[in-house]
Amino acid sequence: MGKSSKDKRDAYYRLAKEQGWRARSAFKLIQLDEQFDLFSGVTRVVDLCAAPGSWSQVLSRVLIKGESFGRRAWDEKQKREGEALPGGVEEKEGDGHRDGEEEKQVKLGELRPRKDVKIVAVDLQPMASLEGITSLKGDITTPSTVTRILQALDPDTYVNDAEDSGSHPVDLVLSDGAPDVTGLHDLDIYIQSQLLYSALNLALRILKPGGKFVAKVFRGKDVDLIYAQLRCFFTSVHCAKPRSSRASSLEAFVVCEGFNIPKGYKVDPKRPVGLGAQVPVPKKKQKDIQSFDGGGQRRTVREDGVSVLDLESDEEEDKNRWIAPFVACGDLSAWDADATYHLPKDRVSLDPVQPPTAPPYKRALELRRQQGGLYGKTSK
Amino acid sequence: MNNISQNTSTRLASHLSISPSHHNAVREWLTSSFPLVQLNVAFMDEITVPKVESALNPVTALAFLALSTSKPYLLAGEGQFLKVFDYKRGTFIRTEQIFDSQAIYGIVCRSLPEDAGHNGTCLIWGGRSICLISIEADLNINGKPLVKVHQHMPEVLWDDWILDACFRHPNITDSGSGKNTVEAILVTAHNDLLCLKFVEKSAETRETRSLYRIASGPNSILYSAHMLLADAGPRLLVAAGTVFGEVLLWSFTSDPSVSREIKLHYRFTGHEGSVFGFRISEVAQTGAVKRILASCSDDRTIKTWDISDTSSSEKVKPLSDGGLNNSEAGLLDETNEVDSTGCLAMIMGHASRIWGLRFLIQKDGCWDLISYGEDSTAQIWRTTHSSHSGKNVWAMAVFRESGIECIVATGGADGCITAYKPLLHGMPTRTGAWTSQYTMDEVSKTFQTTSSEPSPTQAGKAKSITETFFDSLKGSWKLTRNLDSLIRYFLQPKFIVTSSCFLDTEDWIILGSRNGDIAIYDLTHTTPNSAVDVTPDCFQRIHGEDAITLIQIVPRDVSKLTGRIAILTAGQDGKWAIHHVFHKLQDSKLCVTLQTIHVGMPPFGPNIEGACVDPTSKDLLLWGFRSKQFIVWNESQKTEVMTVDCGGAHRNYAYAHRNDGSGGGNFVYTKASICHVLSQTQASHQVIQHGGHGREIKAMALSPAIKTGDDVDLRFVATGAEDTAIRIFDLNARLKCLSIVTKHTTGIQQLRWSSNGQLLFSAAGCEEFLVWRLQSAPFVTFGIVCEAQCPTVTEEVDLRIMNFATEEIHSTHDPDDVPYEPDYLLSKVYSDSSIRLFRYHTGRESFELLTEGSYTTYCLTQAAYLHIGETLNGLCTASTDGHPALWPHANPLSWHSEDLPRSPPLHWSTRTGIHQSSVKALDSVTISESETLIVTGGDDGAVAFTRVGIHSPSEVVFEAASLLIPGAHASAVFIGKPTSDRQGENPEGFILANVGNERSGSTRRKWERRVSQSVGWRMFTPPSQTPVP
Repeated sequence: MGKSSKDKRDAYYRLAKEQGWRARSAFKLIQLDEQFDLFSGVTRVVDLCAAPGSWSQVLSRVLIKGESFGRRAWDEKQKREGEALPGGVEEKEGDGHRDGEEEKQVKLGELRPRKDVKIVAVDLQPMASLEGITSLKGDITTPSTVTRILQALDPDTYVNDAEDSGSHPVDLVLSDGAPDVTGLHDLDIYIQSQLLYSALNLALRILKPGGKFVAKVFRGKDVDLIYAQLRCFFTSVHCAKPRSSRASSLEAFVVCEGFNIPKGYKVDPKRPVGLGAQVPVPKKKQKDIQSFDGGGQRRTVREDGVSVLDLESDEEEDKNRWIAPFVACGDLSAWDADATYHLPKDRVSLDPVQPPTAPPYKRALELRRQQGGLYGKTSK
Repeated sequence: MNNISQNTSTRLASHLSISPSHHNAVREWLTSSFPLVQLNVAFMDEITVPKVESALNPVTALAFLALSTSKPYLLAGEGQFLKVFDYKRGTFIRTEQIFDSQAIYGIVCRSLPEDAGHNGTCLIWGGRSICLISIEADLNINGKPLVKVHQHMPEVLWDDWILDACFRHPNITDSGSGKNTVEAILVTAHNDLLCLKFVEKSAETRETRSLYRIASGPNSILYSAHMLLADAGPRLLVAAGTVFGEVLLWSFTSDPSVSREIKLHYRFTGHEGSVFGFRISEVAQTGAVKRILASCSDDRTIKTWDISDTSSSEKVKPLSDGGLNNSEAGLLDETNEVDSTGCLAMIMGHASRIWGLRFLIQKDGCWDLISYGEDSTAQIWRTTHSSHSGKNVWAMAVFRESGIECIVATGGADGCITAYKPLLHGMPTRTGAWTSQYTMDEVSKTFQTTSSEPSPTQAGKAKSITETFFDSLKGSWKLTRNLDSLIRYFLQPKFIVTSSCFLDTEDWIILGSRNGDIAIYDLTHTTPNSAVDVTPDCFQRIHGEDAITLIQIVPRDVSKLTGRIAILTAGQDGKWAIHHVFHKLQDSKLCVTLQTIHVGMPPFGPNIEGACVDPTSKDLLLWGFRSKQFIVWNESQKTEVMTVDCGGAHRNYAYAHRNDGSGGGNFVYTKASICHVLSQTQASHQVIQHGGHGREIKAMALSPAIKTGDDVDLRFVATGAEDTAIRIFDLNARLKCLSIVTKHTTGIQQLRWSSNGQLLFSAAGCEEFLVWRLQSAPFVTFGIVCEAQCPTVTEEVDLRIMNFATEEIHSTHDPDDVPYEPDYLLSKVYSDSSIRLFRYHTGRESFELLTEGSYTTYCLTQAAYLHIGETLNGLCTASTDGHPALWPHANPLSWHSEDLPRSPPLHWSTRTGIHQSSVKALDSVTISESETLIVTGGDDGAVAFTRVGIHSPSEVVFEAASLLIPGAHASAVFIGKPTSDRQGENPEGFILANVGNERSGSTRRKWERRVSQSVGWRMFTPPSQTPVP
């Protein structure tokens, strides 16, 4: 998105600064959790392509500090107000890091830090440290990164296992990584899919059965091929779009739950899953087939009166393609990333929490500045 | 978000040639339990690929092919199409679809015997697709090139992206059977080498094609790769750039005598970002460095590396165990210090990312290198050529014409292809290249004269007997005429003349002032030797408040189309304009009127110093200065003709155009007290194909057919892009760009035409809303001026108009008011969830806010009027919350009455949560007297149909019911366009063309292509109708 079409400073950008997030993308994870309850029962998480670290920050504050955000926080607040305080102390949503308030929350049993939480964040870029998070600098496409992650998760008990017989100790693998887009959309989509495959291949080696995998995807040509492959390894695959992700962006997230390696399939780091790789296709449930009529259509009427027409997917024609169900996440009462909000005139603009990590053109910028010229300006 | 305006939908469909043969393509029928009326939906089994008539895509691949009939042909990959141009003539020859939907990213060519055959072989790739074609060229009777394309191997998909390819030398592959064997090597994004073999059918053998993997290099994800056959033999050098900025140089040898061998020679880690492009040089005969590798990167640098020694290497394990894994260092160096070992030189010249580079020539151990990038320039070291709009040069081809001369062709994201001969190292400066510089001595020998007009601020020359002078006696300006018979005309107070022109046919003097005013003096009734106070007809603010630097008469042969007197002006506001000047009866007095019909802004300025019309090509040329350069600009072709680094505007200079249609000219200037003469026999670069925006197109609209005096109706395509400009293209002339208009300051959100095609409405961010008027004009086919700008109504700085709907308001008009033009009802939806209805008074050129309303806090994205039967009953909007909402208007009859009363605030009445997130497409079609169908497409990939009826005719109460088809597309649906299937008032059915899938860059054809990729829906009503078999 260019500068000319929209101010970068949308509602979530402002909110991120107000709530102390390193990037607005923190809200995407919070809203994905609202929809899929991602963090329930989760203690061991690997965050890939983590820099600048807003997702790790969410993990740190939810799992380690035990804070709640978004709708969860709202629900709990409602409950709390109903139960406890007739006098009512006003609290701001998601503003739990002030000392006084934290104390109160502890008193009310609000902060629920989990035990034995292990979070490993991996990125090529350096990342500012976060409480309770082990950060690794590494390349997720390299097989040895798996070893380093496992080592970081269990520094005491890890045994170097050259044969990769596979301890699978991780509950949740996250990847919010995206390439620096070039403008050739199919190239960007391709590179993004390669990042997703790298994250998936890594996840296949460390996820515990029933584990979850969440990764950014650009919905473009052949995205249905990726969905179909993911469905082979997970019992449930959704394409989710948080409300904090702009409607004008191609971006969405695959949320895969119920990790399950199909019978007879062996995860081989030398033969990674990728475009065109053959993976066993799960059999369709008998019930599913029957509910379609002879024409491959099925009609149901929703509660609100909207008729829904489902079409039987053309799996007979192409087993390798499948469209994952789409889910928009985040309440309709949440902020809209595309909308213009009327702000009070006396509002003070806050500085970003974390400046961007070193971009590749950093040195070029410095050199140009030394020479006294403007840099990075392109003609319209 | 490229919505085609509603009134053009049917025509659009016919343009796309959706043929009636679809009737037979319907697979299955189903009766629904749709609440209001039975509605049948059929899934269309086959989708006819619409024929693409015109396309303007980013140019993503270029290659020269030398054959005996043309030296050379230029091949361009634009989207999935290959275009063939005759380079010498600069003409388009033919277009050929190579891939189903994949864009072409690379072309390599070979012709046998070298440069002289009739046949060329081309390997074309893009993404995962590969295609092998042969090009046969001949001349027809008229000596024009005739090109046949044969696909030896139609599109094949590999599992991975292809990054580069090269042909094997024929002497290796040919087994004596002749030239019918083709062998090529390709490299993939995972550093695998593939071999493609094709053996043409012959007496002994049948045709065979094969594609298989032959080797794997160091395992990594690559952004770029380049291959070169070294030593004229079996050894292949591969340069690979990883996404992490490493540069690998490895080789693969497959010689039956040596056996297969993979060696990694160099690993350079000097780049700080991804490497996007490579070239390996030829071997130099002299000097210490024999071979170099050049790389360009995300870090804005070009680096060259010494790769002279490719004998030593790390020995690499053979292919059998799944590629070489000695690169399994895995752990990146924790310090991540950049290691510049082996780097010979580093250059930084581009303002943003560099996509690729080429070696031009090598002489005496020196290499000339050219690079291209995101900043839309191609740079030879520090010499910059910028001939593209917007962002990104994507493709380049170099043709070596002789030992030291090259032709460089570049293709941009704007779809433009240009070619030029660069001035290179070791080249004598006065031959070969198209521009030359001379000293004064040489000038006297070389040139007869160079003409130079006196500066118009001193005198305007008109007739030989008439000269006008301006005198500044006693602080006021006077105008005198004819030295021997002085008539003095008094100027208006404070009218400081900066330009003038004499119209001999009318006896008019036209003066331009320092503050942008124009005064026209009618000299018809004047007598000599007198001082007359003639009141001129004055027109204010013609160029804002800036001085008018130029007034010229448009030559009669150019303006004859319109049959009216036209003048051309230019001002210090950086704009030029065409005005009609004519007599008009006003208050029973004949006076002169000036009407601006076109305003243009060339990409230089703000000073437009001069203008002329090339009598041969009838093109309008403008010239002036841009910072330190002198620019000659061909406004008719929208190309830069001459660029001279003369040092800036403050100097003596003169420019004379060659007037022979060649685009050449002579420019004389002083710089540091030395007189320079620059003579160009043709334009500085040749434009082989004209381009478009070069940035993401965000809105487009197809105009209705516009009548001209000629038989041919004009049809325009208006596009608005991220570059804030609106371009008008001629649909019937291979999408030639007629006008570029710039007044918006933010990205365009929506464009719509009026039904007569004379007005264009445009909306953008910051509440910008403009009305443009189109009419016949010289030079530009059609002139376009901004007629009105809607004043902003809020104080919000970032309020975007997301969409709007237009409807004509016909009032009972005065028959004397000719020509009659309707007013317009404009309903705009905003990013802060507000909605405003305006009336545009065409005659008064003003806006009137009628009513406003607010939805929720969601950003509204769509707006369309709701007609039930013939009546306009309200509005339908949609927003990022996925809910279409209906807004009935309290008194629908009043919409068509003379004066719209200021209505009560608007409220929505019905709102249904159909889509899960943002609605990206909305359109409506009348299906019966009492019902309208709304079609929506969402970001969730779903398509929905909502029937809307009216509960009771006395008061507008909508009732609606929806049918949702989730998963209709794998991703967002951008256009849902119901198009009438049959002629008539109430079509019994229609085809809905959906456009789903990805959003892509500046491709005007995007929706066209996607019609073929999408699912087609066909709807019939009523159900009793027998389905078409």
